[in-house]
Amino acid sequence: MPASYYGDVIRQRAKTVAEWAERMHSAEPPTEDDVTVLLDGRRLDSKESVEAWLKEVEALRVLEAATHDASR
Amino acid sequence: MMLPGSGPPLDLNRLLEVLTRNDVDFVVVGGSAAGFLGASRLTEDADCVVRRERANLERLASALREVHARLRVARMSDEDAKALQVRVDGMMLETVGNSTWTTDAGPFDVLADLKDFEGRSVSYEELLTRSIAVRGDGFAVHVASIDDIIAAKTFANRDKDREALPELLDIQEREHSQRYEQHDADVAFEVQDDLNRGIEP
Repeated sequence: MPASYYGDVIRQRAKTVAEWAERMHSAEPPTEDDVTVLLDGRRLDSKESVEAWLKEVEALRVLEAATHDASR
Repeated sequence: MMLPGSGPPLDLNRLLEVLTRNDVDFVVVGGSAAGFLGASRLTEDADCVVRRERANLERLASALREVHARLRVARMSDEDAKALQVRVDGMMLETVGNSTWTTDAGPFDVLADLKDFEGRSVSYEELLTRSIAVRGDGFAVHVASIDDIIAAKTFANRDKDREALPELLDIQEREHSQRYEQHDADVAFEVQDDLNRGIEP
């Protein structure tokens, strides 16, 4: 569990990235609700949803390449 | 619920160094930014808001490829995620709002924006104006202000956000009462001075 806070003395800002990185060693792993969210609001929370999205991205790549070729 | 314990732990120094070396425009936000400011409730991922411009997203894609980024997907192991064969490029990154990654330098989340108290989008450009510069070994990065972090967590209003807020509010009080302005100005000046002399910050 993350450290509980009861109005304890707060650390000062880290002075360098190295000091900051050291602090992060004690951090907790990300939680399962932390997932990729598309601009249209869809959540990529399963293998199937990721695969469907990858197909859409590939179709966009093909479209962009075709548009680029047509404009040359 | 915790994600299955797969993937390397966070190496923040390496991650930030790779991003800056690839000239990615970003501001560190979220729990990792709160950790910089002094918070003790930390989650082990680096959250960054990036400039939503194709060229910057291409540079971000290069940085992600360098640390062998694979999508972090619920109920999927890191090994299964590696097998998805995701082609990371600017086009792909343009379609996502927030993306969650496992990298060789640990968990890394890329955000399109933060939200303010009302849920209004706060962009990279706006965050940058209030950010704090911090030096690494041969590079410098920007960290979001405590005010922006608190606004985003207040709007998100998840259990973990509500639990984090009392400490963040105390940090905000300290930030507002202490005089960090001169330190920030000094760091910004040093970075600009290095750039003017052609030295990598």
